Amino acid sequence: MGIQLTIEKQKRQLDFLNWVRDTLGTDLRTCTLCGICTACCPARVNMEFAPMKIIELIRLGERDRVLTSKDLWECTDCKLCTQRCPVEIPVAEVLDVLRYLSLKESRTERSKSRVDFYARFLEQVKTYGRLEPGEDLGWGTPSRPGGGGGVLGMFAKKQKREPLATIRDVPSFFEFYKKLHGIAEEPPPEMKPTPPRKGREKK
Amino acid sequence: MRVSYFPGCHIKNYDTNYEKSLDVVCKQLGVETEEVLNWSCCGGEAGERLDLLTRVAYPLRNLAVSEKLTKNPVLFTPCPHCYRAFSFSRHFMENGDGYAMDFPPHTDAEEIKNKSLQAIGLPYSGKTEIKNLLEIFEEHQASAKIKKFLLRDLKGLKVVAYYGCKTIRPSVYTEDLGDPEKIDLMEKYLKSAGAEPLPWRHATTCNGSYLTQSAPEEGLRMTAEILKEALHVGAEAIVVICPICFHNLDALQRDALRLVGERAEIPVFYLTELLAVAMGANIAKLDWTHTMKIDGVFKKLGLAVGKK
Repeated sequence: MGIQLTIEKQKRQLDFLNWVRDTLGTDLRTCTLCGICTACCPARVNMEFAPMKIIELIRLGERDRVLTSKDLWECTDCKLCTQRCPVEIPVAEVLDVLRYLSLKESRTERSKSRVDFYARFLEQVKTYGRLEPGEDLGWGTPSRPGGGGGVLGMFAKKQKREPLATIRDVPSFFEFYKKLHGIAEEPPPEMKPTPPRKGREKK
Repeated sequence: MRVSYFPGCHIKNYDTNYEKSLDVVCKQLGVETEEVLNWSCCGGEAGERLDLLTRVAYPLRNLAVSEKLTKNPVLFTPCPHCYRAFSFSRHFMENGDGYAMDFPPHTDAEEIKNKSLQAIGLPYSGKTEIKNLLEIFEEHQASAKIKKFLLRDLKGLKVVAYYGCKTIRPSVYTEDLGDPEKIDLMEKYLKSAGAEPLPWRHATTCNGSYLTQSAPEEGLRMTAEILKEALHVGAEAIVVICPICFHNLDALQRDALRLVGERAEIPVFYLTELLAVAMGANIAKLDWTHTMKIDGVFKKLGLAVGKK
């Protein structure tokens, strides 16, 4: 019984390690657990494990703990860890592919605000081809609530919406988007004028 | 030299101060910029994180458009987020960039490449080089030219140069800039302009990027770390080259410092703003859309106080 469990555990460990190896071509067994990645990580103040321990957990086959960890989404992908790793493990890229895996298996509930923000970002690009000033991206700060442009909206100016027009044989962004995601028939979004920016809320 | 110019959404929408000063500096350095018509968003950090197809295809469309409309061999983007996105896409098309297997919802690198090219519907040769601000400046001997065109000395203004992360890393994208651990280009330019760059620890440390938007407390804690160090070394201003860094350090500065119980304030400038001032630009014609007060620096430089 005990032996059976040990074998299963070892198999689980190898599976996860091999997945990383096949995806990135990096063997995490070369990691010496020196901790430089964690020491230099600017986001570690927000993390529960920090990079070195994530790698350790991958080696231990703790798939669930890694994929549900909020660390994956606290990472800002600054790649300082990759740059400084003495055994040349691309630590940031490891976190990068793990992010994709956690998305694929929908295990991002603990980082919902991050994923939602990025989704809003892409949604806006999808409609206009660019980020639009004055549109609600949730821009704002604790002292100045976002919405309607938030802080950045103050400096926003109106601009022409070129990407949705076809210029000199260059297909518009919308046509590109439709083809990219295999959307068959859908009318282009209406060219509505930029909504007037709202002033800062006064207390 | 003539280069294609890709401003990116952030600079176009919010950072007219960056774009206007960049224009002045580029003219002085002899960089002829030609904005890519019909450009669209590069996907930025959102594309990078949510979908590999988006991450490859969005920048690729702009590269193909630039090839078709301008025929310049170089695409210049002053926004480090766009720079990272473009570099990734270009490298991915060349060699898969190390990413080989099943990403949601696609199966392999080849499929992603083909799908992207099909959707774009334009030929893509892969010859366009991507350059960021520092690479373009270095190529045009900025340091020597700043000295040559210096009209207003920056009078020993104590500054800290803040590179951020995406301009200099990963080093495979930025071979021209040398070792990212020893980078001192911004310091060199500022010195040529008569400022006094101070050494500090956080020149290349990330300040939280979009975390300040999606998870304000976590992001602001990272931003505060940078601000505290800048105040600690006694800088009079922080000099940045990234619109996201500028937003975090300038517009969100009060929130970040309040979070860690700090009262002091420090103005934040784009590198191009200070260089434009040094090279004698008309102050009134530049935008000074700063949240933090910049009067102190203006006074020290003997300039008429701007809008703020």
